[in-house]
Amino acid sequence: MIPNYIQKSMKAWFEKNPRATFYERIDLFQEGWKLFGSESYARRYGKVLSHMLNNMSVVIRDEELLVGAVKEIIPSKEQRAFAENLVEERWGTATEEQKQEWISFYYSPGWIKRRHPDFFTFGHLAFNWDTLIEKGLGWYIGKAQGILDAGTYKEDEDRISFLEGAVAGYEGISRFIARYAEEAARLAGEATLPEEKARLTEIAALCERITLGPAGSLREALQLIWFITLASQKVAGCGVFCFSRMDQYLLPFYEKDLADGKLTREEALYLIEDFYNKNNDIMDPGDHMSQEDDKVINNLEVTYDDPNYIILGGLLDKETSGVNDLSFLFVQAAHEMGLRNPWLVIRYHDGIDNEFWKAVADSMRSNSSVTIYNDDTMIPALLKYEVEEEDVYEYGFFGCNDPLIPCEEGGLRQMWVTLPWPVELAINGGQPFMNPQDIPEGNFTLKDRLIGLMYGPFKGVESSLTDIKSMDDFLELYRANLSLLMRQYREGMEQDYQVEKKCSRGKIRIEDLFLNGTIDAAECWITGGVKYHKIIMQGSGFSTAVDSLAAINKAVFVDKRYTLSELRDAMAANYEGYEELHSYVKSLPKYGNDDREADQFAAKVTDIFCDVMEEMNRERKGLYTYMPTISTDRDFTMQGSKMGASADGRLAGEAVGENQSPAAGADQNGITALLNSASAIPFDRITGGPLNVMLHPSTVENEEGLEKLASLFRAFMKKGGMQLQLNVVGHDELIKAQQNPDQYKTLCVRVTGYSAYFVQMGKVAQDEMIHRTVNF
Amino acid sequence: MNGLIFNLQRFSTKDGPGIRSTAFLKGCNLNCLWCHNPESINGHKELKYIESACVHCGACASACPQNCLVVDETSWHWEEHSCIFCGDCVQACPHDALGLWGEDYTPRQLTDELLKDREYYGDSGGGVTFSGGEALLQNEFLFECLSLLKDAGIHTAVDTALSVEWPLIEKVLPVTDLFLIDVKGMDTEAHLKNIGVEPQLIRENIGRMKTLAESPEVHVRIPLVKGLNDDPALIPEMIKLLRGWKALKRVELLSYHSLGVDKSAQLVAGGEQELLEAPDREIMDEFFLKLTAAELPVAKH
Repeated sequence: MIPNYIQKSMKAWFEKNPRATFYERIDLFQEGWKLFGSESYARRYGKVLSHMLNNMSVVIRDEELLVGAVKEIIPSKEQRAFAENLVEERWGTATEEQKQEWISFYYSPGWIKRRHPDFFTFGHLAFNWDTLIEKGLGWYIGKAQGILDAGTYKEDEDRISFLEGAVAGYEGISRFIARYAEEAARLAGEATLPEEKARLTEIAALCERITLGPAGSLREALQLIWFITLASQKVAGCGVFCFSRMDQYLLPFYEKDLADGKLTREEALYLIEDFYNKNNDIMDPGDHMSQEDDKVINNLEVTYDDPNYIILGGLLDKETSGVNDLSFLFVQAAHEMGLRNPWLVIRYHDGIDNEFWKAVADSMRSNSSVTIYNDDTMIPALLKYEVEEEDVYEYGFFGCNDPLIPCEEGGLRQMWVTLPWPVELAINGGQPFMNPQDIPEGNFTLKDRLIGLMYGPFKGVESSLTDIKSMDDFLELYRANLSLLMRQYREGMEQDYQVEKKCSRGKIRIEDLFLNGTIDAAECWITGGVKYHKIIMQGSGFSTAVDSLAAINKAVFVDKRYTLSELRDAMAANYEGYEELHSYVKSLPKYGNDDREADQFAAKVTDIFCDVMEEMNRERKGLYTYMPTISTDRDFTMQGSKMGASADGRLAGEAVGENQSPAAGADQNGITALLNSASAIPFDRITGGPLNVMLHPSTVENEEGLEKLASLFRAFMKKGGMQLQLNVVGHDELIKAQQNPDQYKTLCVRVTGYSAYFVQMGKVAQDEMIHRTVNF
Repeated sequence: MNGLIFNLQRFSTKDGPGIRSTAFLKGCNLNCLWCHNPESINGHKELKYIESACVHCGACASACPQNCLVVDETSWHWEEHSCIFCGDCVQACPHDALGLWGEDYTPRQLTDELLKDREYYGDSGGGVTFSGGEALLQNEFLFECLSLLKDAGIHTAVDTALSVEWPLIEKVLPVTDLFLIDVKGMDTEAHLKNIGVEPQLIRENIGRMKTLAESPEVHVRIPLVKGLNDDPALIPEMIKLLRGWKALKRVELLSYHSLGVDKSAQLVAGGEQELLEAPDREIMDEFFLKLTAAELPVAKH
């Protein structure tokens, strides 16, 4: 049972005014930014952060075990205008060059609108949580101060400024925790009920201990992690955390507490539930992937609506399973609460504990934010992309199903490669069907090249269809076009990095305080303070590429019913006047039906994509290692909007395939056929990305249904599947939810690398979801 | 030798243990009022037509090599007697308004298809179920398929009403691990009215199966429909029929559902099915309690 106070708090979140905001952040930032205007960037950053933390309200709520919250208000019209102007006066007047210096990476207008160019971060990473709780903030201060005192970098003002900024930041966070200790002590003094007095006294004492010291118990560890999370996400805007392997680094604390008789298993569950609730509580309502204004609420928050990830289970080394009692508790908490934040990634490995696996399947059956990944494909894959053996077992994920090595690398670096795009180029002599230079309205146009990551404004390899005598010839041309695009993207990323590197010198952001390597090197992760620098290339529109190649193979080379140029002409005409050909290509085998004629191209597309990636990594031109995922996030509609008609019968501008799913409605043979098609992908070369699967509740009801579901997942993993996330919901229920949103506020569905509350999604996204349930 | 299959259902979770695939064989010698697979009854191919999806474009008529389709702006007409069920009209339809029920398979083709999910059967203790229609009617074909699957080490089940001559049952006994037997009613008169045959043959076959020295495992499934076969007065006779059956490991009570009604409306050559009602909850409970009290292994419904 979820403790009452948590249930109340969860309910309050669903009912809260979406415009409520932590307005103190805006006022205090403005004040601090002026106050420390004469300092170097890094010192100023540290001091402003400290100023905000030292002056914001301390909020201790009734009954809660963990503390740490912000004070929210509904801003007045004037307050809103002030906040918007503050951001707008910097972004609005900036030149493209300035923008690129401030933010060398693509973001949406909604994201920009809330963030000041001098005080933002990308987030999407993991701190060194284990070090934090084992050593405490005092250790970090000592380390940074020690390097300063030793005079290691005495001639280097940038590095000295970086370290001083770091010390100011650590001290600010430490002082923030101390303020909670003081407030709890004061409230304890005022409390009349003995229980309440005792609770507050305990909070005061434990906050006092972790002000500088390491955590001494599970509760202290979670409390310390929460304070850092609150400061990072709510104050500094460092969203989309990966908490890495919580069941591993918290285990010694849990076991010691149990042994000392200080904690019961049930109390540990409550602590975890309190921690989950706090994560959910700081989320924005709404869904940023729904591209409609009515659901993107500009409430001035910097936390955004992406969840934090927790990684559980998995291998510790070649043969030892990491599954332990805490793994069960984390899954149980997610199952009981059904929240969208945090999002659990369960790492499967051959021989994983059966009871645990069933508990995982059970939580997924209840639509908890739980997904499974396969160590047996992920570990070999990561090793192919320059992750070292000593780090690989620690792998995790953040936000968009992107892999990471916790605390050994910086934040989000990803780009989309629309995989069907080179098919279009190959069949049309290197020319796109639609004018690709158009940049969709409303998107932040930092640089055409960055937008091009998704749509490819580039022309392909000049070629002639008369040279293509076989499917192999066509695939070679596909490879040449894909390779050209990917290398052009790389060139763009590396050029941008040179700009970013130059303007990041002497800068610091909150994550630099908690990554491995940055303090020792006295430089931020962007300029080289961490071990790994990678870019995720998200192969998008996967099924469209696979089905198109399968259609070309069948129509031109197997059935020999049409020539390549007939097919090209039909595609160029968007199939108008080619109805018979259109019907025919639509009826050809499609990925998702366990049909080798189509699925062989799932393997071929993946192999070509990964071959090029590995070649690029071997050439080593620049900083980054490139890693492949098969993932669209939710942008498959946008990605398709710039592509002409494709050989699988898809019309111009229609959405391309979503993540690893078959084309919408194409899978007709049930879930095992779908999984068998997905198993044709050589996942030991792919480092992430979601496969969304839907089941009707009646197929997996009761205990027998659970056994079957657990078996289904395990068999898929054994067959080389990589990832799976599940929605167990019927068509009728989604329709009802769309019509009566008030009664379905808590209906949580998985959409890409995160969950969404269905009624908070935009209409288009809701309809998409409903469409996917039509088959049952 | 070919078999006629009208549906292959994968990740079938309701037709026996574990994860299964169910092959539905076309053709049935019963005609149950509540049939949830009305497309299974005729033992030949049938055309499906979804009127609401049809835009009367005439693409089907143009594609038909037999000229057995006449389409104009308001009507759609099919001459069944000249149709060869080639499926050209189905492929030509741009709006998915047409479909064919029934596809030919050789035993090898069908089992190859079924074996694609063997990893899922293996992990879950599942296998393959043959249902229908009346699966036993395509007896040779069924036997061949079951034998091929047994050779491949796959668990096999046959879903049947047992309303066939004994040799048809006997033939598949050695290659079947599980019989799923539908017991559709106890009252003789009602049986004839609801199902189209008298229960005599079924009773005899059950009697024979009970006496087998080595019998495959048996699960009995009892569909209950309000007012047709849910009279609790018949429970004692049901108990008499099922009691003392060593191979009987499970009894399932199945409440009526209306999925067959829509499907029957889409059968161009079929009659429309009447919408029936599920039994009251209390009646279901009464069946459950009384059968359980008689020490029959009834699963919670």
